[in-house]
Amino acid sequence: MKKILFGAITLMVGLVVLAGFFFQDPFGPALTLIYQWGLVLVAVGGLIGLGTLAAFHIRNIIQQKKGWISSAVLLAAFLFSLIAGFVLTPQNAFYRDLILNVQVPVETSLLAILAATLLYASLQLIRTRGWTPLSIAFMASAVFSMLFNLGLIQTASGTLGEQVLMFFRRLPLVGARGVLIGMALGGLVMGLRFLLSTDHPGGER
Amino acid sequence: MTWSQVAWVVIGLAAVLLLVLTWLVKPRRYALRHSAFAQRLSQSRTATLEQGRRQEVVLGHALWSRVYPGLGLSALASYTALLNAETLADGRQTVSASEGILVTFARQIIQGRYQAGFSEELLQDKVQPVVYGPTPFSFNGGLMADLKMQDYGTLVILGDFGPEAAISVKNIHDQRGEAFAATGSMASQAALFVNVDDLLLGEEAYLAPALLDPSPQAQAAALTEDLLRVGVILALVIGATLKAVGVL
Repeated sequence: MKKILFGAITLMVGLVVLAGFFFQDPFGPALTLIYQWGLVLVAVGGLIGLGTLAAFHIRNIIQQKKGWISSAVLLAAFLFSLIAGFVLTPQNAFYRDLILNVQVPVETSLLAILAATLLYASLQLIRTRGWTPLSIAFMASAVFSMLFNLGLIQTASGTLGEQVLMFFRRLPLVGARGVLIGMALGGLVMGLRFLLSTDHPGGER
Repeated sequence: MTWSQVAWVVIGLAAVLLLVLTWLVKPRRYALRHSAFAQRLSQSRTATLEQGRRQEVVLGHALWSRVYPGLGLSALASYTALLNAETLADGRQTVSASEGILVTFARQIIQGRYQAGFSEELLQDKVQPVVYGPTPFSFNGGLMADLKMQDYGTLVILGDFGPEAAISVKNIHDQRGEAFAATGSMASQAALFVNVDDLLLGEEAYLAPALLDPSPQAQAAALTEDLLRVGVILALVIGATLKAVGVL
């Protein structure tokens, strides 16, 4: 019964949203209302997520699991940011400086780790994947794409050489479009699966 | 042609197809394409379970995004297939995401499964949903720390990510664990291609639920995706040809 009810509501809401896309005049107000409800639900989900984050670290501290000191530091920072946010509000210049001057350097350091990780992984590409057509094509396209976009190779305007160069510069965009079209198709089918209640976000079977 | 007219054409076409497929075409089972991804993931999860190590399933950073709609839903559908009886009884699995709504749904899936066939008082460990951090980088920081502090054998990355997903893969490899990915965004696919052996690329990311749980419904969805793909390829080729000869 629960499954049927859930499926019926999903189908009804999905069809109204779909109809609202094509028939904007009659379904426009309903569409706005559904979006607003959706936003409220997502916000509540976000709060539950924050509760889960706090619960995970409180559990770590109580059970004195490995790294519980890090959990204590995280919880203290979390509570400090939360209380300061409520007292000073996020629009306050001092609060923004306080948070951003910690958050931005930390995230930048993670970006640096990412750059190093990717460089190391790229050097290991052939060792990881072997000499396969896909790995060779990936490596060659990455190298040539970087070379062509460095601007070292120049041709006279209006010549065949310029057209060839432009073709190779645009080639990654063509590939990206191909991937995006495929992703759009996949997204369409995934939407249909949930609309027709073949799958449920809550996993009901 | 207005959007309303397009809608009526789509509705009419859908009605015709519904009638034709219901009355004229006999139902049959379609063989799903062979994929080593599901087989190797199953082997890795079994080995992890037998070695008493943990599994980590990451569901991404967004339930819905404008560029990659449906990726979050795909991750949830795939996760349903990863919660088998052995994993639930073992309990050494963590499922995480940086968006609260994804973790809320994951929690609902887990609780539904435990209520369906387990006496929870008898279990030592239970599968836990976790938010390591509310932003992609803070999440990744938390995930990195957890991967280092606990003994993980399998890392499964599903859904919507940026290139930072590559860092956690490096961590799991350092722990002699294995990584599997079915992510959608192009940045994450390019970053993960260089260090993940078992990776579903492009629209294959949406096939993950069907590969992990080849039920008739999932196979039908995979077949629909394949047919749509053939249709789009034909439309592109015909369109390009017509443009080349000056008709369009």
